[in-house]
Amino acid sequence: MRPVELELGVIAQAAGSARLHMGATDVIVGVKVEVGSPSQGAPDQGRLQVTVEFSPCASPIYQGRFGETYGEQIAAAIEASLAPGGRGGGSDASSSGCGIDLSKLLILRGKTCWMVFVDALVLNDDGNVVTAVSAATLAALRDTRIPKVEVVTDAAGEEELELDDSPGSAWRLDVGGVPLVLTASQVGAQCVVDLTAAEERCATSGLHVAVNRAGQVCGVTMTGRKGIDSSMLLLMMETAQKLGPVLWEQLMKFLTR
Amino acid sequence: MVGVFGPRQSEVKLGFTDTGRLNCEVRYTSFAAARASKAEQGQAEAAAAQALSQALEASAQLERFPKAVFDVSAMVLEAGGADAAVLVTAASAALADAGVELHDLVSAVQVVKCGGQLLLDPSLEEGGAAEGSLLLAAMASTGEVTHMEVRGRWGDGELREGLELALGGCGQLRGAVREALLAGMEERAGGA
Repeated sequence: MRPVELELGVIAQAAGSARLHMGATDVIVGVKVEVGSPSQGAPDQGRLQVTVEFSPCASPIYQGRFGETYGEQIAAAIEASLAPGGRGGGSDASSSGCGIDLSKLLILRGKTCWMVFVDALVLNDDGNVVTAVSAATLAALRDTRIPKVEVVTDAAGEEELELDDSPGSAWRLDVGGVPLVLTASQVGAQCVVDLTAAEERCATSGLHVAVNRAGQVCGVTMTGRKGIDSSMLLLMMETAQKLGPVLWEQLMKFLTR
Repeated sequence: MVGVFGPRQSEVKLGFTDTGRLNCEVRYTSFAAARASKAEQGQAEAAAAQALSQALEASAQLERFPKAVFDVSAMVLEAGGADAAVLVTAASAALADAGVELHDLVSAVQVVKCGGQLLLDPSLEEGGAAEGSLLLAAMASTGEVTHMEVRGRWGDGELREGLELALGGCGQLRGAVREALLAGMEERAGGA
């Protein structure tokens, strides 16, 4: 893998942010938190939303609709890795044990919760964008401070929110379970990771594998115009499972410093 | 229900390609599933269409149809679990029925992990209660996987077991689809 360069707190207004270089690939991620209402399907959970945008500077192909759909695809892969229940609905993240525990983001059941917005902007695309966005998201989430909010019941029996503004009382999200998304691509009969943009054109198909720190698979999505043989598929997943924890430890070593 | 239209000429604004394109569209009827909002439904439709084109693209011999587009329109009349898998299987059968040259039929199945057990082709309730799910679309005769989507945490052995189960299911399904297509052909030939 190419060496990773990481900067934290690059956006002053955001609750947390990170900028990541991986070779020439350049990604910036900002996290903002807002108080909102939980979805009807999951009244005891906070909300999480991921968007990925491409700067038209990154490559002319990202102008117009292609950039939008490609961004949505990546956003879906990242969001699925952060909150497995998310888009499909149904099972909650806490029971499946990977991603972020959304129930911690709840303030008042069924009424108010924290909404976490993760916005990623790809400034330059030199391949392996998904891993770059995923790693930057992890760093930005780890950098995020959420202010403490207390629920106070006033004399009339109405519940009110009290916001504690002091930076000391703000809390951080637990990112221990957040997986990293690695892309293993098939070039000819070989399985390769961390391709540059030029190399990516030669790949017939790619597998985005979300791997947590223990090397367990937390999600898979596929791209590409060709099918993958099932033995190749297993090899690709194994490769990602081996690399995931390594990258995770590297990132964490920097983040906890 | 899936309909296939085409080939037709590609729109100029999409630019030139020397291979064909599949243009997939998925709609849910308003009574198909209990959904909270229009936006949520739109999101589900877009995701399903994305999965559908991914799963089918590898199977169609698109290099034989330069500059052409096939429209694959799917409508989910009633969602009763494993919709995405059924969509892919139906759409592939529709492509074959339309006479589009394919490398092989694509069949897809969903496997969910529910309380330590692996369940093939889950119902809506089983899907909702699952800890993890695996969607696999494959060309069963070559064993090539065209689309795969995994959610939830999977142990090493579990994933392997799930994949084997899914591949077996794909193989069974392919046989059934093939038979149905042949029966349909014979019926039409008999009617003419």
